[in-house]
Amino acid sequence: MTGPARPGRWSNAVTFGRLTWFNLHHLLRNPLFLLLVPAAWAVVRLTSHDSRLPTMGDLFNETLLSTGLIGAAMFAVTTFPALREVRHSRSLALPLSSEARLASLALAAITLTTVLLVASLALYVGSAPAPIAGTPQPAALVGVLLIGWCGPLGAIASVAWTRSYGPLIAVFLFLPLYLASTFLAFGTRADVLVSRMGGLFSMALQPLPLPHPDTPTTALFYLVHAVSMVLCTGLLIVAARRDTRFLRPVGLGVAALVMVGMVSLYTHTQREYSYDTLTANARPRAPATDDCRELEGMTYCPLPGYESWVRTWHADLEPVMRVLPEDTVLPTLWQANHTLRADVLFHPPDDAIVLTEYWSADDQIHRAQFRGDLVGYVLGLPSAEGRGYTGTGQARIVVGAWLVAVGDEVGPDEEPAAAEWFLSDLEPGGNDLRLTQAMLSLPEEEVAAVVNDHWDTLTSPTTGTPVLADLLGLSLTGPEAIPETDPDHRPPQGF
Amino acid sequence: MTTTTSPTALTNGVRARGLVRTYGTRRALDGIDLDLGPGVTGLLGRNGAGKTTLLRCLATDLEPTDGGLSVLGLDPERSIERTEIRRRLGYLPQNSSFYPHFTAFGLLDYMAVLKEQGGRRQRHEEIRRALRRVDLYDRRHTRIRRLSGGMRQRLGLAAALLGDPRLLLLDEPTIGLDPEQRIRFRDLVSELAVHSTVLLSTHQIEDVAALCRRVLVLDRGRVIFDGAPTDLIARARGRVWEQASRPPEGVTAWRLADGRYRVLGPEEGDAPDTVERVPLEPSLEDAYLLLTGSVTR
Repeated sequence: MTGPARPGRWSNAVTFGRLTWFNLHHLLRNPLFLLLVPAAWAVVRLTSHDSRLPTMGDLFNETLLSTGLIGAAMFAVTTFPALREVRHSRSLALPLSSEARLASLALAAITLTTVLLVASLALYVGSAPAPIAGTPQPAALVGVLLIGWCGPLGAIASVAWTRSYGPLIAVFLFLPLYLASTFLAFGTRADVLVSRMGGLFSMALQPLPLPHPDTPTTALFYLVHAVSMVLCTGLLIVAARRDTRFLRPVGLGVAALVMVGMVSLYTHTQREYSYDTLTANARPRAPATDDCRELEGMTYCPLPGYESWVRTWHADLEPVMRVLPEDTVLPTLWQANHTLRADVLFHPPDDAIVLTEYWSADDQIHRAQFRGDLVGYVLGLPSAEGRGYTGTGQARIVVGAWLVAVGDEVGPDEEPAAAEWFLSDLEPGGNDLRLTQAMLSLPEEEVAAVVNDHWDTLTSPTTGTPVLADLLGLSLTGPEAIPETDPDHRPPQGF
Repeated sequence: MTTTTSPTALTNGVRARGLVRTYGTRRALDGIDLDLGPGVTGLLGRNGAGKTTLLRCLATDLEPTDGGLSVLGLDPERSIERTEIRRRLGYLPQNSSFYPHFTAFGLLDYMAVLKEQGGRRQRHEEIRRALRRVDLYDRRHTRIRRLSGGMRQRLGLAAALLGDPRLLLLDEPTIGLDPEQRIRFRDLVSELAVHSTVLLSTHQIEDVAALCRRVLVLDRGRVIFDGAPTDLIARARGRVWEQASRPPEGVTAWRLADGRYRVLGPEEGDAPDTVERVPLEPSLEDAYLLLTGSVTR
């Protein structure tokens, strides 16, 4: 009844393969797997930011969240068969060594983890409402998947060292303790400890001080970090062997070296990619416009992979551009972030308006700010960075508020949010606000004609609000005066 | 002490020469010479005599410190051959603690995968057969943690029986079995022993008496008897008695249900004349106790 004789090594390979398949099958039927993996997916879906225009950054962060949760689930699921191999099968004189059986379990568990993470990733990509913008960094995504491996491998390592369910219990106690301690230990030394542990976990998942690795170099750093994590966990498994005097010190020694390397990498990236370093390294210079695109007089310079966003930007600006005089000099729109075009981000050219990579088409404030940047440029107002400009009584700030709000559908009881955000940094007076309100209630064509005909006058900083009111046939004083607005109402501050 | 068997038998059995296993300075096995062929061989010995160590060495679970060993015609020192031995061997270790979250079927499936019991269908058929042989088929979906001690023992036996191994090493297999199950076990082992070599380590001497054509007795790591149970019994003839009074201190004896004493040890002439003694036909247990010196210890 024994199987047909095969050459030994081939036979072992077949047994290893069959045991891996067996392990895979048993992991899939583990009740904890059936409970925790759907729960992890549900959490990912519930906390997911469903952007109308998803980016590679969104994809990375979504996958990272999946990695953390699925990695934790697989830690729990793998603990049980790991204990089977370490504690319950040693005396059975089985044909494969305990090391080979643990390797088979590890292979099955990381295969399953990879399939789950790739499925999460594919689900995100497949259900994205638009092509994902940005330049894909395969090394970073591979790194995220590898970090997911640390869940099951960590389970095997911890069981190999403790031969108990202790680590699993500790991890699952840690989560409620962590949540409770954030309330109970606030302001105490325990709070510091808890936050440091949380910091360590975050550092393990994302060691870079950037929202996501978006260049080949940062992606490579991320991949090296992930490989080091896997290597370190693997070495801890090897070092857990009790029957050799050689492997344990060597395994622990190499693991310690890898950890030192990881800390060095962390320190290096924290220094090289910190906000201060990136700011200090950014130099004012004229950026290349090779990849820029012009639409109706407006030049758009998206980051690589964001070309599809030009139409969205243009659709947002088009209502403003439509009512501007034809000879208006328009700025160049630059998209920038800290690693790509940091020079533009920190030292924008004079004719530029800058949009960060994190501009979201779903965010009304982002869109109002965006239009406000264009309007501010054409009106000669200080840029968004020049806070504290006092435009009280100037006609151009009222014209600007009207321009940013043009095309917005605002109901009779709604506040014109875009106009408010625009004015919030310009110290408008009461008359300015009354006039803005009145102007927004006039027909668009009527106001546009006045603005076009008197553009030079209205954009001058010396032209006051009463002039604009006169041109529009409105009065700020006398019996025909625009009614007072709510004296308590002020535009929101801190935009 | 060594029984010679034909060379062909060794492809189904075991050959050991000068087998030594030490734990620190203690010699658990002290130069064992052994040839085992088809049939059931009983392995007796007191606690710590080296029975489990011998079985673990034969099962390749433990590496001998010294000596030569061939199992199923293969050399356990060579990795590939050791794997092959483990694949063909049926081994029931002492106090095996199986993974409690497995079902009975799951455990056997795991073992059968490792023993290369063919494809899934063939493997599952073999598992069902093994479960039926130990009367656990109805419990195949029960988790091991819910099985009684006797059921776990039978499950271990089923695991050892997978694939009809040519060598079966059983370390105290009948612990926890009820009388009916023990009879079933004896029947099963007898059936297997027609083609296979079975080494049965036990303290249940009636199992040895019922099953074995050959018995090995170990003491302090050495074989002190190797022969047929009848030969062992013959050695005890004339040294087993029944008497009315309690024998003096130092003589092995126990009180019987009728108030008389069964006495082992003294030769006929050694007993005082005043004691009325009735000679008895010795059992294997009497012979074993006399051999291992329990009488005077």
